[in-house]
Amino acid sequence: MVARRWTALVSLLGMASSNVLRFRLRTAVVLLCLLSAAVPLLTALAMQEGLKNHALAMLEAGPDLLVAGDDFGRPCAVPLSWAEIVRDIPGVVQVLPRAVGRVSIEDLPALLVGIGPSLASEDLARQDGSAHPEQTLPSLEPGQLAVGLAIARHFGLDVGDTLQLLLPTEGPERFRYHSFEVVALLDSPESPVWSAGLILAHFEDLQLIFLREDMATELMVYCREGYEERIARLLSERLGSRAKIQDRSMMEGYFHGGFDRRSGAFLVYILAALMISVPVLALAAGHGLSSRRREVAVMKCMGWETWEILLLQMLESILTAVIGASVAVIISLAWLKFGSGWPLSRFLMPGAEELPPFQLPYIMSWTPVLLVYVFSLSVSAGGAVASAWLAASVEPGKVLLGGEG
Amino acid sequence: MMGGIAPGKELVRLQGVTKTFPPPVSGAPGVRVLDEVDLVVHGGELALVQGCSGSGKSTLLGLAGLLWRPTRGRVFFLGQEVSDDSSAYRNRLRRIHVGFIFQNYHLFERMPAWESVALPLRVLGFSGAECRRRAEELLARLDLEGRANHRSEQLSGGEQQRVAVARALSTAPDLVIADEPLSNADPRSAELIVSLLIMGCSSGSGLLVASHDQRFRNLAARRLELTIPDAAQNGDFR
Repeated sequence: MVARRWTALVSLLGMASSNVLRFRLRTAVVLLCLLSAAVPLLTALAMQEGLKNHALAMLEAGPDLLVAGDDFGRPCAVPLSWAEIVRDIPGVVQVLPRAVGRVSIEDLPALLVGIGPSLASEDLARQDGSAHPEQTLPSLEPGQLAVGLAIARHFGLDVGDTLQLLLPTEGPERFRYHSFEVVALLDSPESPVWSAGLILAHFEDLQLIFLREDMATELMVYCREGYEERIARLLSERLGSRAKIQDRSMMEGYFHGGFDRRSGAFLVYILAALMISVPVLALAAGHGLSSRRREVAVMKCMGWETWEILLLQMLESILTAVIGASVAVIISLAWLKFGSGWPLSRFLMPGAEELPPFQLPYIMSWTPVLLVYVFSLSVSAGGAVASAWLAASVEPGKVLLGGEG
Repeated sequence: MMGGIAPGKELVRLQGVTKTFPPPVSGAPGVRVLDEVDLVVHGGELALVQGCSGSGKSTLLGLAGLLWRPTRGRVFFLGQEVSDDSSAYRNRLRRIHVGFIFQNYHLFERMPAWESVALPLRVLGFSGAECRRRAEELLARLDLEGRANHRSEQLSGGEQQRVAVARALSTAPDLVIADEPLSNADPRSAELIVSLLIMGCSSGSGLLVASHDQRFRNLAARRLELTIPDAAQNGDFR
């Protein structure tokens, strides 16, 4: 008995699959609706997850503490002399001053970064032995630049080219062009996202450009493991309220705040589009069922029961939904792999107006994939079965009288 | 699972059945289509229903095929009264014991011929391969062996009619109900259809046909002539 039921179910599945092909237009409309809703959602979620993981990995590899100045509660530049104060605190392995500023090159925003001379506690640096990300950057002389891939592609720059930057001066003309030689391209595979819009310059050039002699934007402090909290406390004591000390958890907090707000707004937009697509998809799934009323009536004449007709319809919907969701996953992966999710990526990466010149990090986790399968199944099956239920309530005898049932 | 009734056994009996349909306009009296009709069909015999258009031939076939419930009167199937039985039970009886041939074929759009024939077998627990084998065998008997994969719209009217006949016979039903089975068939198709139906009859199946074709008239064991009921008798419906 059970074997016979299974055979009947498999037989119905065979009929359902041929019905999916038989009602090509309906299948195509449902698939199209599913794809247009699911592909952007999957792509956005995978990009969001990838970028987030990438950023957190960068934070993890970055300094343990950041020391900036505090000016009425807002961060400000710090004097370079602080680096020695910091280095002398027991447990500090290395202190690196960093100058960071935003510039606009012919309306293209770029981040100018310069890393100052390292101050290291000799004993501890020898014990630590690990290379920090900043130490893997190309070493530059004054007047030299290393540019990110996005900037290099935008201006067609290559090693040996000259880049002119319009920068402020203390003279009467206020702004003047400075020529720099491009000596390297920043194509770090570990940090393609953040280095793409970056220009690395010599620390002294940065001080001149931003008119901040003997100053740095912040001090990056690398600590011996387990000493971070103690060092942060000692720094607060020694530098007082003039300093703003941020540990890794605070940096992660700032990152989450900014990133989650941006990606959250984007996801709300995508989910709203998804919700709008639900009734459209349900209608599409049920589309054409009115023309199947006659078929349902004929099937009932042959002894098909209502639940069997609904089961057939359900199997058709499941097949369509599974095909739709699977194709959505494949398209989404291809979009991420070969198209870096552009133009969706520009919502998550400010400034990414063009197709990124590198592989955007992404993680296609199980949760959104399952979400898309569940969404496809529920909407497609729900719409189709509701319409089939109406069709299944027809009087089969009307077929004999020449009606549609 | 499929039927297998001894020839001569009573298959269906309508006893004083009346059928009234709901009025097309609410408030108006119901439309009485059949009035106090008696009919019995035994295994191995052909019962012919005749009458002018509107006399209730199709309704009678529907009552005998358990598609309708009578407004008044009793319906017996295989000796058991089923007038008030549930739709599910009547469905089960129908799928095992009854095969329908519709006047307009009612084949499904874009469905291959073999799948149309296999349709009643799907819910009887046959595997896809077995459904196909049986369907192709029946199609071959109706001279359609090269048409199994043709979709309904790719078949001629006569071929469609033969596919509809094959579909009705696929479960080897005890009772075949045919509504004008030769109405659109060409002479060759008509010959094939009649011979296959009669072959079924001689192996024990009952055949209830609404037709004005002379061949059925000559072969019928019993004949029922229907007339349009008196309009004054229209009344309650069920």
